[in-house]
Amino acid sequence: MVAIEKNGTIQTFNRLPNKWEDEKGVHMNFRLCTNKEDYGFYDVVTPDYDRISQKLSPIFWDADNKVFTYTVIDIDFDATYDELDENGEPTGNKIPVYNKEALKKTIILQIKQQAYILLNVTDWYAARKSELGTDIPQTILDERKVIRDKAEALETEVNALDNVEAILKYTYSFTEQAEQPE
Amino acid sequence: MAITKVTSSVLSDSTITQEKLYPGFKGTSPISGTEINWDSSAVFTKTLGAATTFTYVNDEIGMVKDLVISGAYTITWPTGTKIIAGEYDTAATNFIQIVKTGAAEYFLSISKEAV
Repeated sequence: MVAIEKNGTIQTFNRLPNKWEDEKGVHMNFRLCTNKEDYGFYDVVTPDYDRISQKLSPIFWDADNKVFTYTVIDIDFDATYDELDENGEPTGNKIPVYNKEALKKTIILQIKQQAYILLNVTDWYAARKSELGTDIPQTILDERKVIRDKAEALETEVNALDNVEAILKYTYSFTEQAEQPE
Repeated sequence: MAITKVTSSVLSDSTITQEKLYPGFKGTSPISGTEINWDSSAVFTKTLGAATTFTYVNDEIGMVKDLVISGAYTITWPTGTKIIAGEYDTAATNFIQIVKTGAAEYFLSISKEAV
């Protein structure tokens, strides 16, 4: 990625534009130029950062290193904002920006929806059993129990999460992956 | 009385041959450096060997120049150039036509041989 500062605004590009116009003229095949710095273009250096718990500052010019870059900022998961009444006046209550319980509720809902989708495939066995009395094969019963047990275990895991970062970083899968040998 | 100026009434119809035309309206010449003298030829050719910034001399509003250019390098045209059509092909010979339409305004179009 490259960037240029024009009139106080930094403009970024995935790569050099093929056509560029500046006070020097109109440049064709600009992507082929080997001295982009002469035209004000410099590389953009994006520092490594945790995309869940950190964020990047606005892009800025690092004169020492002659690159455009960002500062990594830790996200304040305990941040709050003032609750306002109907007249727009602060009520004195502080509302957390990140609502742990709401976040957990969202994940649990997703788990339940996925379990529903997985169970739906074999629901017809249950319907047949109900209508015709045909037994559900044991393998199907076992398979459905695994799904329900897994959903329950995941829900318990989510409820046990006690901080926003852990909730945001929480991932789950209904299909167990075999551990790879080291 | 001797004729000191040729007026159009002196010329018969269809008598001005290509050879009699002013250099800016005929012939082709290579661009040796980066300057294009619009008076010197109708067609200019160049194979780029490096990034090139073209400059113009003797360009007048209404003039049209044809350039035959090849080479995979950056080309810089004078400020006021408006690329109105085409894409330069770095792997082919490009036919570039430039029309001067204003004091510092040039309309430029690019085409190439159909393959």
